[in-house]
Amino acid sequence: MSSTEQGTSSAAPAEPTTAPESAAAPEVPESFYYVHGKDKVVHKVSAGALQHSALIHGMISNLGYTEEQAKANPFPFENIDGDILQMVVDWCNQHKGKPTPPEDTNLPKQKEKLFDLVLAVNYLEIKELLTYCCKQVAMMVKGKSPEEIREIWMIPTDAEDEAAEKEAKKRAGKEAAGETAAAAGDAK
Amino acid sequence: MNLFKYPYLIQQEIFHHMETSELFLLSFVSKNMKKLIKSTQMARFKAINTIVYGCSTTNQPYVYIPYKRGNDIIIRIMKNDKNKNCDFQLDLYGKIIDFRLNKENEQSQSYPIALFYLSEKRTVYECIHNYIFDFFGNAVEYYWKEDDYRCDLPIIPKLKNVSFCAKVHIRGCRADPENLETIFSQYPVLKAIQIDTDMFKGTFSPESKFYQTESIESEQFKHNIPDILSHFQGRQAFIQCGKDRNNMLVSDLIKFVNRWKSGEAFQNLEYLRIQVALFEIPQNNIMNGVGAKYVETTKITPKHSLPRV
Repeated sequence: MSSTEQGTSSAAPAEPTTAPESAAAPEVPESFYYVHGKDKVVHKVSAGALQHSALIHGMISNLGYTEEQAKANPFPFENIDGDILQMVVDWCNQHKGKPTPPEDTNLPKQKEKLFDLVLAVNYLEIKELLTYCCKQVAMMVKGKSPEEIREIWMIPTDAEDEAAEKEAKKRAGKEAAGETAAAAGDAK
Repeated sequence: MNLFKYPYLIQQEIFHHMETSELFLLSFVSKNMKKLIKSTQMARFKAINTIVYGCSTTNQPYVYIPYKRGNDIIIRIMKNDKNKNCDFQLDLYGKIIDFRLNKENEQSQSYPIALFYLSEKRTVYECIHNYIFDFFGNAVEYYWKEDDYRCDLPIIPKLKNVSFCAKVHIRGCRADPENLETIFSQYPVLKAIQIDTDMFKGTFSPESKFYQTESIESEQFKHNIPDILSHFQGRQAFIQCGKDRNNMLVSDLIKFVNRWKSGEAFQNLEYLRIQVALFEIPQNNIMNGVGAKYVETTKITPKHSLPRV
């Protein structure tokens, strides 16, 4: 693992120097956890920000890590690209402890990035962000012709689907024949 | 980005953010896409009760889903304008159909327009309807609604599971029941008719399909209520008329209610409303004639509500 650490202290709110008068109880220090994606770059994220992710929130609750243990064992998300995980971390930090707005206009405009973000967000179970992303995906094809939609969402034509189906059947047939031959060989 | 590579729940969430009309257009992209939409949107399609082919005088229907918040137009079927190129073509049931996309402005709803030449009008109507029927299913009620039929006989295609509703305004020279009889005889029994005329020469024959219409809404100055009261076989009638010259209405009304009450006739009838303008109805005569019983105002009478056709 890379030793690079990307702190998110700039995104996290600064700790108040003096406690507000109304707050009689001493403030509990915020705990932090660490995550990394495919690029192994570690991101330090507060527990408050991570609450958006049902998956990570569940992991945190079950593990009960101390600060040191968390630092030593960052959560690995090898199936998520580093830049996508960065986007997710940024979004969680921006919306930490806040009600989510009805619209989010800061999502990536490039369709490939958006596609990866949708998959990552779905995996991490961040419901609100998934809703925004899916809405944006739906908006991409508004007012478009079927041909344009096919290009944007990369949907195969009927002919391509039929060819792929034929190919799959052929492959399955060959595999089945191979298995039969192997079984016959074993029997001998 | 390949939509088919998304998990099912994500596909469902994306479709959730699209109008039904947008999903209908999306279904044109491929057979697999159509299948996917149908399988993910079963609950949404189940909630659709009605699809209307709404025609005015042009006989080029807008096909829409009526919602309380407004109509969601899924497609329009129009005569082909040779000066304009089509945006795309589709092979529907072996027929290549030209389409344009309605894009009046950024804010306006975008829907496909299926184009036809007069010689192939019937085939195009049928192909489009078959596609809609396959997409939304047979639990939906389909209506062909002629909204502004005035004089000419409309050419209404015979489409699978489509009921025909008409709004008829007859003025002056064409106030002739024969014209309408010709239409009625050509089509299955109407679901609903709204008829509005100042002069109605003659009457329909007692066997007319007019009287078999499920719901009649009639507005006539010189009325034919006695005929409706004698021959109507439908479920609901809403009649508005002018003064009757020989007080015939009262006796007809009494006779009608007594036949209805006894079960001798009008067994399908659920609801009848008659409004008479410029004429004082002798309420007591009618009440006595039909043997109405008076209910104390303090008592709560049982109510039975029926949806309007």
